[in-house]
Amino acid sequence: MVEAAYRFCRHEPGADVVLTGTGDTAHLEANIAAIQAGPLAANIQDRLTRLFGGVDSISGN
Amino acid sequence: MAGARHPGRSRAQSRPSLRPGRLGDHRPLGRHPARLQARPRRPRQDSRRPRPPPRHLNNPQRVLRARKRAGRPALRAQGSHRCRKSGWGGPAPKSVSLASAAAERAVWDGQGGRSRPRRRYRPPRPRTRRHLHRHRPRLWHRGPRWARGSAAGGGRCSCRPRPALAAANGWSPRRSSARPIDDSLGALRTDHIDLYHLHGVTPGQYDHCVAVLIPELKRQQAAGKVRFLGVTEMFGRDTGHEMLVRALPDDQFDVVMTGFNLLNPSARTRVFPMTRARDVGTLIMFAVRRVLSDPAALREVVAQLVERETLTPAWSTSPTRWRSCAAGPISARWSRRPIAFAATSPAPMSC
Repeated sequence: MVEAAYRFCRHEPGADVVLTGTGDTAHLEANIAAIQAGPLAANIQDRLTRLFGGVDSISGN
Repeated sequence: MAGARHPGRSRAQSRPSLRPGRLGDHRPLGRHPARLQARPRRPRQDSRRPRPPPRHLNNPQRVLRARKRAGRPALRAQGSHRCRKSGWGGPAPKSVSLASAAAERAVWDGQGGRSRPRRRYRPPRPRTRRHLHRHRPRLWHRGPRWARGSAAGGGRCSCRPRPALAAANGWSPRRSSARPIDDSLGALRTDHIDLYHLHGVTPGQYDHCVAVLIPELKRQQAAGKVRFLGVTEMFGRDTGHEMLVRALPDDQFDVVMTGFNLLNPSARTRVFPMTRARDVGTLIMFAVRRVLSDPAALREVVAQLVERETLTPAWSTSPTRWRSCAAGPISARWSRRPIAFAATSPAPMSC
């Protein structure tokens, strides 16, 4: 899920920089690998857009 | 006078030349000229090792005065970051992930962005910081408290080339922004900050920013202490980007930091069109926070969204099915499946 979330943000047109951070070296490596991975599959992107495209009330925190 | 000591000889002939091609160099030297000539100047061996910064760099005012005396411009572009207005990205704008923001935040706030569940947040170890340097981040983001003292790993980033430095202010409606900038310059041991952010501005605080803080920041920008100005929304409370929707048409900022993630992609329609039209750099925060990394929290949030009928179930025309899933014991139905999108996809996500 974490990897999918980073890939979702990273390949969004209009997003120049995706901030990430951790105090753990393994997590840092995983985060960087996720951000440098390719975009999500198109069908998954469409499904996410249909599901959560209208949501603006949560931050995810 | 040389002529008095050696009558009939010119000054250049009175002493041997100390260095080839430099006749008449009479600087006093402690070594015999012949021995000096026999030893060529050694090239610098440790050119890759960063030298400790000069002590005067701790004082930004002295740095600025020195640069002014030397006729050098106050702004100095370092690194190869060149993208859009803010100068980031280079040929591949998003090819390098930026790290360290929450890593540094974890030092002081104990937050770490809450991107990993059930972890005790602790300061990043020096090993982690060194590891990060190997990835050559393009942006080094420091908060106002993070850069104080060696407990936070010191203020200086040893990456070469130096990444763009971003600093966040200790935003306060009663305090001038000049002092946090000077504090940041001193702590970061640099003479300028590439990007200075007003952090966590709510819609109600934006008017004060326009009236008080932005004029001060513009003065600091003109003085060369800051290159670009940015603003960060308070995404935890302003999930609909109200502040940025107001701020972007004013064209006061070169960069904005906005919340955007799987669960709330509303910036796609409310923020990104304006940033792209105005060539404003966009930093994404909240890409992964607690809900997206903790399955139990995700179930809870999805259940709340279904209750509020905000979420549109893609696979069912009947919202009651969502409610029955969410209101009942979640574990019975959901725990056997991958989280969040399990109901829509029989197989786990192939990401």
